[in-house]
Amino acid sequence: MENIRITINGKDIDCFKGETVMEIARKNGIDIPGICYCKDLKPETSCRLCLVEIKGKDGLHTSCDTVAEDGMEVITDSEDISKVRKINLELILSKHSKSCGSCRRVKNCKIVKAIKDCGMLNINPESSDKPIHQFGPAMTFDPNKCINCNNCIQVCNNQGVGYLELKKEDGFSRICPSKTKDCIYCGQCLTHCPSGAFKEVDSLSEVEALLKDKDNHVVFQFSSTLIKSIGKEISPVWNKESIEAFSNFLIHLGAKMVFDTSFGVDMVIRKEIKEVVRGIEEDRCIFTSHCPSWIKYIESYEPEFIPNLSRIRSPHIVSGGVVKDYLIEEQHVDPERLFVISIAPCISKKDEIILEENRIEGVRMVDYVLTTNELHALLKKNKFNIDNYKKGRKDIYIKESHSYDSNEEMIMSGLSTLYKELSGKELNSLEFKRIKGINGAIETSVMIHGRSIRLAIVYGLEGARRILELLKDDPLTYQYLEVMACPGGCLRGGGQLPEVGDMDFSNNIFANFYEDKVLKNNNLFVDDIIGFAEDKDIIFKKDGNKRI
Amino acid sequence: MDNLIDKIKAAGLRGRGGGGFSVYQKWKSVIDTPSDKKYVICNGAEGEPEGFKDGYILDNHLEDVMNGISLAMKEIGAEKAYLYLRKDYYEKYQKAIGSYPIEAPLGLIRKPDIGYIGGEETIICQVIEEQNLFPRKKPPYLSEKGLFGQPTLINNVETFYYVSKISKDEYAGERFYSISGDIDNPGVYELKEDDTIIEVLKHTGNYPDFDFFAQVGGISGEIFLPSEMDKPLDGAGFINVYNSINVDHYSFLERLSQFFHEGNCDKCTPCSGGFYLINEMCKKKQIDFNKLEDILLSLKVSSFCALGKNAYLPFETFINKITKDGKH
Repeated sequence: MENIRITINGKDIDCFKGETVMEIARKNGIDIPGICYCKDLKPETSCRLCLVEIKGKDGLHTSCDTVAEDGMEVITDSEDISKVRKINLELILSKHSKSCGSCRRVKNCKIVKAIKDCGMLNINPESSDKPIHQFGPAMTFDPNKCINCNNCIQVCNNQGVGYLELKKEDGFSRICPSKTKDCIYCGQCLTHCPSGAFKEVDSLSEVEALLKDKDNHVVFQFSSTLIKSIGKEISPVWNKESIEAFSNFLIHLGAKMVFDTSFGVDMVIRKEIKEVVRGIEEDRCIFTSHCPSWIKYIESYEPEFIPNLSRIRSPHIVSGGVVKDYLIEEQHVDPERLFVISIAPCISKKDEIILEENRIEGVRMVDYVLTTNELHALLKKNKFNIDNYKKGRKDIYIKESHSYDSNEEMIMSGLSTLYKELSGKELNSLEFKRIKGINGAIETSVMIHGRSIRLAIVYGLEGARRILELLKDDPLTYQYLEVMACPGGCLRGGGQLPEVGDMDFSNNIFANFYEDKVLKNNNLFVDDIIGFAEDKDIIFKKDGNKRI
Repeated sequence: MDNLIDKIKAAGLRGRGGGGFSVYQKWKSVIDTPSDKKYVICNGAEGEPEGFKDGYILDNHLEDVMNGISLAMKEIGAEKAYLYLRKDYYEKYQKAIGSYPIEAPLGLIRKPDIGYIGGEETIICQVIEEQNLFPRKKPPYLSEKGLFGQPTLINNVETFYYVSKISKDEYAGERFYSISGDIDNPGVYELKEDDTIIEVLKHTGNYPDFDFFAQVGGISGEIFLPSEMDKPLDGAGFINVYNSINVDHYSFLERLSQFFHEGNCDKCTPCSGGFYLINEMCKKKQIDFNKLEDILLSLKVSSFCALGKNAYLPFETFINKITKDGKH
């Protein structure tokens, strides 16, 4: 990278050619207000708050899309800048609903931050009552909060879905759900919306009501890894102690049992071998079916690949179903009073749990899904304090040794199980490589009986579509494909907490991937329950993937 | 002198879309940018609410327009040309244009129903490329990186007409004027480019005998008092005359703000929020002039594209010149 030098507010700053003025300023501790900027998107430049002056150029310039040039002299604060920022912020607020209410953004709100940054005193947002759009059972969009930054349209298009469209209405371009396309509920619009216009469909109030009735048998499950964005809300370190304290808190609220979704992963992985063998027999690549948005994407947009989808239910559905079955049959819990609630970093699971293919005899295996966001609201409401919940771990079934620190570790564990099953030998090391030219994608291969099994993991549908193209050319490019619809995987899922300031969506999840790791083929923790599940119809979808 | 580009240079032709940029320089820049693929676009979006001139030219001089496009393609070595027309022109001339023999492929594109912004040159590229309908950042200018990322020459219908005239040595510094409003002889006239606005009105029998003002250069143009009209027209060839006594100031501003509210792309805050608020204040007949001035300032200095950057002008000049000290 070529080094250049610019000045910001009279100070010399060394930077790289190609960097934007905003990136350089923020790196050097100079804060420029801004609402619509997202690190992982092309600047929409819509809010017009990150304005700066550039010597020799008329007018004000948005720093988010102004690329620095050697010798550029930038001013980030002046009377003119400050005045125009205030004017523009006022115009933005004139579109944004008056009440913060239960807004998911209220804690780290970019608009509130901009109000402070710009020193706005009198705020008078307009009130309007445009109807709220509901996206299936998963999400809502409130046009009264939308500030037209268009980030949501960009992420939706990047995902290859294009469900969000612009429609002229009363002279305004308004964001509208498409009438001809399907939303896959990945929730990337929500995590990239600076004005809190998107929200998950609320399940919290119903869950709270269930917990209040002591006759109910409420069971929580979560993957402690995937909801770790809540960690800092609970304690400075997200570790075994804080996970236990958090679980104790759920018991305190009225839950009868808290367990780890990883048990579901274990069960699923054991059975996944069957599917991979099916794929080998049928000459097709098997797609894991853990991510409901991925399944919906295939069903809606690439139906020719439906036979490639694994018929195995996703881990939390399986563990939910197994626990329910066990409690009803072995402990005689009243089925009418038994509720399983998954906490997930995911919006799409709200849709997944109600699908016919994920029920047994019409009964849901998981009754509610709370997103990490909703969990945060629950903690806040109850003024959660870790010190109050440190003692005891009755009715908490959290795995002591955790092998799945991420989606890819889960898949590696699956692969080692497969290897052992087919070759009779232990798989000691596995080397993943980035797939050239495809973002957020890695691959590896193992030789089993002289046959190469190639596996790819992709985060984000932009990359996934590229892999599908490869498979259209040659169905045997890969034998096993894991896709998480959200760019960055579940850790950047649509149900995660929006973070303070700029969300860093850069894909650093593969960062530690080249370290040597001993692959653990985990033994199961609650063998009783698992054994119980073996003969039941819980793990496989009876009729495969078929949305009704 | 047989070289067309030199003839254009000698004629001093300036673009007739409103920007008034030197046609020679624009063409030269496209010619000088190395690329295997180049494109020509003829802009017939003509989004003015009052009057029309490109429509008149298409009606009467379609052959010259097509000839101009053809000449431009040869001159810059374009692979393909596009003729971009607003809906009614598209429907009216679609057949006639199809019957013109033109050596290279010509794409006929219908302007989508997005209002005034649909004539903005980078939006036209977005339309042809079937991308989202928001303007692109400039620079890079279209002459360097335009349609499909290739050097692209875009000129207005009238400009291509005069290119044809220049090639035939029939150009003598004329331009088209669309005259409308409170006048006796509205219409489109071809007169000298260096005629003053007063002369144009007089030559066409349209000089009012009452107290008047005019918006000159199109809907984004400045408001002129008669005393300011002793100079040639700058910008697009439109003169809209108003009888000072008959004009309701609120209605004038309401219509203007409504037009821009509906005709902007809503990409960025100043246009998207600003014109709506101005329009609301006008409708309620309660104009907060400080707020209005603020919005105009924001448009002028912080808008993304030329629509917002220029649209402050008619508001500002109307308020300063017509509503006097800012009061009705």
